[in-house]
Amino acid sequence: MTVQPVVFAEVKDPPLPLEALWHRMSGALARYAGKQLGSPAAGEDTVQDVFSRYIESQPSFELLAQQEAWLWRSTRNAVLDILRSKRHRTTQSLDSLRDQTAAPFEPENHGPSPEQAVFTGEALGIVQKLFGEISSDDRDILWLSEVEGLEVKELAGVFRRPAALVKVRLHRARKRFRAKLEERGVAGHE
Amino acid sequence: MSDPRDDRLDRQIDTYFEAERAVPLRPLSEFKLRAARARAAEMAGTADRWRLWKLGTGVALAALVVFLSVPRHESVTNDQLADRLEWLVEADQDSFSETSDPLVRLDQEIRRIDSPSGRTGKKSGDRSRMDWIFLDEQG
Repeated sequence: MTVQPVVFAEVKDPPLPLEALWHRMSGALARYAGKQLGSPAAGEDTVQDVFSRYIESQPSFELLAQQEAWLWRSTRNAVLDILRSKRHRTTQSLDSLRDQTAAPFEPENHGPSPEQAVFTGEALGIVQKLFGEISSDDRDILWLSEVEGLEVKELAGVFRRPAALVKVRLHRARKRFRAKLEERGVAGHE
Repeated sequence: MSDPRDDRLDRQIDTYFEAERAVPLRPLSEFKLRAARARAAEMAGTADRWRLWKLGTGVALAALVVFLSVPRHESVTNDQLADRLEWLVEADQDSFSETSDPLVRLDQEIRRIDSPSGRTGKKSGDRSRMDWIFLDEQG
């Protein structure tokens, strides 16, 4: 079953029961974790662990937004823990071996938008590859902002940093990504 | 004024993100949610066992501290022994014991001090011959 991309909860939405929360959030969290870890399966396992902790610790929330912020923050922390661990270094090397033979990941095609039609799949693949090469911090904040749609206020909650600082980090991350594309000769189409 | 080249790169970046957003999201399977519940139950059990272990260890340590801090035998102090020896030397030997062997008398005296009623010195009614002579003289 397909659900709409996660839009951060309205301010006054009440918290959801577990099943509804799983239905609403697990896909987006797994996509984010999978992207950061370079493996969709690892992303799904991470989300499963995060929900285990959620069930075990039974945090109480008054609002859905707080509930979602808890899940994003916990998933991000779990991802960072894995990235720091030796286990992931081993996994990375195996993944890189696999990636040498596997075709690069391509988003499912649901009909190109007019702009996408101009922007060829080849260029998209290059940008995607370079996005995987930027620092995990930059990738982290750009993904949460641009793909998952978290606003600066929500990002501040996830990163536990002031909104102004998050805004600066976001701007710099995008600038570095742009510089990376330029450095690799991605000229940008007219 | 923004650089046209940067604008073009920004458009590429935006197009890439748009393509990623277009990937339909599916919630993970219910099986994974059940696995998460099972794992949570396991974690809760482990936490309970850990709390129980900490409680048990704390109680055992407290009991050990109490056990070690309570004196189980009240021994004669060196001062008490020295006082007693001095008293022995000065006392009328005939009035003190049936035996004249000083070591045997010392042993008897130590045993007497060790006994509960002897810790403070003389037993009540334990009077030397000199005491009786004194009493006789008093009438």
